[in-house]
Amino acid sequence: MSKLKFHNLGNADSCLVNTSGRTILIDYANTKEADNDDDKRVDLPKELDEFLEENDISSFDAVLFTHADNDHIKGFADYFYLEHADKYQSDERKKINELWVPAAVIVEKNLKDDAKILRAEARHRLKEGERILIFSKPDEIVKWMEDNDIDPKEREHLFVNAGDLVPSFSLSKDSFEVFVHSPFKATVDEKEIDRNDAAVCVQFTFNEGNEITKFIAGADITHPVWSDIVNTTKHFGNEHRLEWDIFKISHHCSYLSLSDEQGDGDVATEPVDEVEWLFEQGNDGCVLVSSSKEIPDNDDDKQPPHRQAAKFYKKVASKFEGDFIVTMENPKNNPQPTEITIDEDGATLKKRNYASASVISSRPAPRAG
Amino acid sequence: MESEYVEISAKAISLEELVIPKAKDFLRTISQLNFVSLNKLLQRDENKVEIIVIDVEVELGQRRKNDIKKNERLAVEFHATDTQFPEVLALRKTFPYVPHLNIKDEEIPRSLCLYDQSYEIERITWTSAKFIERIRDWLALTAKGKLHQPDQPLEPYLHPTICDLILPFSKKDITIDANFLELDGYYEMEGKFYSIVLRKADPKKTKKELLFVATVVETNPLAHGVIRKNPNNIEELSELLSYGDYSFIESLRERIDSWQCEKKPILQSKLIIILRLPKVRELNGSIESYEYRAFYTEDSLKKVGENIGLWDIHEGKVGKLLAVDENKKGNNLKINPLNPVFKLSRDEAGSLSDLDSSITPKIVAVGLGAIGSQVFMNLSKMGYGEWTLIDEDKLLPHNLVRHSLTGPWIGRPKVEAMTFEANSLFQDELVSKCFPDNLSKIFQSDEQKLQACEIFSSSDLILDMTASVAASRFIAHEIDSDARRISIFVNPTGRDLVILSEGKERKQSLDSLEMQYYREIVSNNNLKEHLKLPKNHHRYANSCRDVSFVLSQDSVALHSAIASKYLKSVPKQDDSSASIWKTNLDDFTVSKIDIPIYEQRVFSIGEWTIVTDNYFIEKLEKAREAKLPNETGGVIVGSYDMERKRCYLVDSILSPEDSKEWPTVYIRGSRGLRQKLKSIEESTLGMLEYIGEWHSHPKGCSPAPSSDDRKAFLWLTEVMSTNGHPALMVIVGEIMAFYLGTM
Repeated sequence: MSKLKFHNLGNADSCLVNTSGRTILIDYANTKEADNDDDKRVDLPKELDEFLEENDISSFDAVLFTHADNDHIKGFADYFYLEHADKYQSDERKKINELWVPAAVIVEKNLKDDAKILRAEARHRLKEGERILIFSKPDEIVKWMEDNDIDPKEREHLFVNAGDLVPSFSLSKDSFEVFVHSPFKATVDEKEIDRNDAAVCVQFTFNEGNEITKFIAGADITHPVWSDIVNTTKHFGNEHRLEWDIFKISHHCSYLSLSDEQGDGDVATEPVDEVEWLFEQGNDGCVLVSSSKEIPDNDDDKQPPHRQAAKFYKKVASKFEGDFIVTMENPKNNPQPTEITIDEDGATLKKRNYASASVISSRPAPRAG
Repeated sequence: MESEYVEISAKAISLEELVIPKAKDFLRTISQLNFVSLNKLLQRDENKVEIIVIDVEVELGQRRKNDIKKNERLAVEFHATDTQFPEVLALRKTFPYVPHLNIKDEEIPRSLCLYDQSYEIERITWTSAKFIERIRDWLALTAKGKLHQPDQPLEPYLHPTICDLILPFSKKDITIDANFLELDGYYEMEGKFYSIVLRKADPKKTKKELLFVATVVETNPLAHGVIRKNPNNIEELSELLSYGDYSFIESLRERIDSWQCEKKPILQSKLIIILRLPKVRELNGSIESYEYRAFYTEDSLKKVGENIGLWDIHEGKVGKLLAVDENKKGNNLKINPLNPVFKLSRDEAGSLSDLDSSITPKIVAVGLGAIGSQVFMNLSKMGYGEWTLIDEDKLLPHNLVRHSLTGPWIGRPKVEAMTFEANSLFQDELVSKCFPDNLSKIFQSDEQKLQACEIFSSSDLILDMTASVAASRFIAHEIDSDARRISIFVNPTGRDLVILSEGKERKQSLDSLEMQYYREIVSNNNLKEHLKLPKNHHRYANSCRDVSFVLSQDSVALHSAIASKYLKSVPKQDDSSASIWKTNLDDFTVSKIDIPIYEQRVFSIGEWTIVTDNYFIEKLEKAREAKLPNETGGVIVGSYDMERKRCYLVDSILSPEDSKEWPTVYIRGSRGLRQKLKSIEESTLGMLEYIGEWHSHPKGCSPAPSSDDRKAFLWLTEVMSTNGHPALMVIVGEIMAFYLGTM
């Protein structure tokens, strides 16, 4: 049985994939304000530590940072064991067996904070020539390697391109595989890198008891890139790579991942044709997960989530008799990480009323006088 | 458009009108939980039943084994009496027929069978939240096809009055050929409805009217159960069971006709119909298991025949019709459901007791007192062992304090009563035979001896539970059999349990183990009190094994439990053993002492047999070695069995400190000797005593007696004769020599 766990982090991402004894983390953003009891976001490092402890796991087989925006990497440098500098190497830090990053992480300039540390770590591993997988190989990165006296030929195995499978795992050996949809080489070679569009988008395929279940992790991809992905995939006759049973909705339920037009009031956003096609590729009983704040009932906030986009996703869910889940609303008022199990019945979204004890033990008690 | 849900005929009420506490709590809880919401409130039977209709969201996988929907509407019925589970009905008309539904008069709406415990038990920890989660769990697991608990269907709780039908045969004995079963039994129809207990009718008493006759009907295989609602009369039953060419009513007519009821004392009997329903996973698939159901007619067979068109009644007499009256289909023959329960089989008893049923040793048990009776019943109830019981005692009133038998058996031979009890466990599967006689007397009677010898020689285990050294020795030596002998007894205070067990190859005999047990008592500080007599001991003779003293039933039960467990383990143990289980009387913990077992050594001297072991022999050899070039010696502690002329050499008190040890002379001293011997006799209740002398010869010498040795032997002979024992001298040279009686 495989498990997915989407953490409730507001408009931020971290999804744990636990399958066939492998542990993969997609993004890490520790957004919860320490010492704020009213902050309903999950304490991500604590949650991950408990998971690792309960399952007797000491390191992550892979950690994918889809892109280096704060809502996908915040606080990662406080949690992981980083190989490029001693100060990130205390015992309690968690090791990353293989770091997965888009090429943009290596070549971007003018960075600070976590993004800068991530670049340093990725560059270090690229120089070392191991324990890293870089998504796409733009000219820029080849040039960077040459400037740093690295023979690009000797680093070829560290790269994977859109349209290929991640080499580290295979359906036959590990009962799952990871197909790469983006970034395209072109999106990284542009002068001004748009991180969202240069982000990593992948599709997981799980085989449980000879039943296939597919999960698309949509990062913060915008609709033009989705259109490119759809067109390219169709061009290569790879339509099955865009089928899905579980879909991590792009960009915290932003309308911009569907269309340029938000839609008015209560009306659902109308996606562009390619995106509309993409959301016809779901299977019955599918689950759409919006890693976002609660869906508002007005348009006051320009930031996602957008209620019109949510309305569209709800329609998709209801058409497939599936579920549309918002991480900060699952359940309302007392969100917990959203869990999906994958077995021979396909995906099963966990719907439990949490026992008082498990709720109480998952967070500190309120201040007592 | 027709609603997809069943409408419940009840009066709509408002929130404020709700009065049943559990219903009110349930409603309050709904508002706090996710995945459940209120649809409406209803009430019926003047407030006695309140119904809360809810919509629940079910945790579902993408693919489902059973067609459970993401959203299901349920009615939860709360009863003011609160004596039964709130009933949960699935209101969707197309709700599938799945395992764990309650059987009701109507099939739809289906009633969820949620609990496998009684309401009394569930009520203790009942909360509405848990109840709702249980309902949602039931739906989620049913969707995944994982609710099924192997084999054991949940008991339908809606029929607390359902009557058990206890049958005198097991499932495997029931076949379709059993078209006519004459059964007798008892039941109580008025007042509290308990059960119908049946036994096979005794053919010798066939003149008496039988209470019941039964017939077994096997239906055609349908995927899962046929009976989803209870039929009320024969005609309805026939409609449920008939298919294709098969008509149940016709088959029933043929059967009853063939019984020739008018010639048998069964016209007043009630008819029991036992249904055997084959279960297949899919149509035309192979039969995986059977489900059993039963019904009885409220009317007599006489009326049944009349109402299915077999005969007419004229002035109380049966008048057979020339042709069956096809119009009479029994729609006025009311039938009631019964819950068939089969007799316990020996195999089932074994598997319910987690017994490895592949091992069923043949056991002869001698001595069925407190320990013996309880060990026997412990093992019999598991279906363990094929037994022969030997004991001459009759059950006396004071025995009831610790014996497994009860009052009605007073005055009867214990083994007969126990055999009866054990053999009634599994009805016709016999557990035990018995000889209500003394073991040695059995061997004196020619007729019994022949039979007993046969049983002994084919047995695997012979258990001595007599608490008698004499019986134990008899069992060890007087019975010709390869069976392992095991002695089970308690110490005089009743605190310790002792088990002496021969090994598979019987290298150490029971009496040798007994001696090694005594030796351990002398040398092990933890056993100093083991054979101490209880304070209130008023007896003229001391015995180290006795049960007729103050000893509580709970102690006997504790020892019997350990002994039973031990006996079950015996077939897997090859070696001999001697163990003591000591009970701590302050905290009731039991600790085990394993006595080291040494290889037995047996020598014959004339009519005598010397029995000793490597412990004794090595002890003497080491003592000689240590004192060379001087001689040394000591006294021998052991025991005589005068009846069997066996002399047991168990231990030695080595050379007292005032002994004279020279290269060619040894004079045994006596300092402290008397005290040591006294202590040995006391701690073993006289089972070990002084039996002789030993001394060593120098290096390179034979154990041939010197003239001094011969003089000493004469002195010994004279001294021992006052006791009636022969003289014993052991001389240890390069080899060891035993002189007993003569030198």
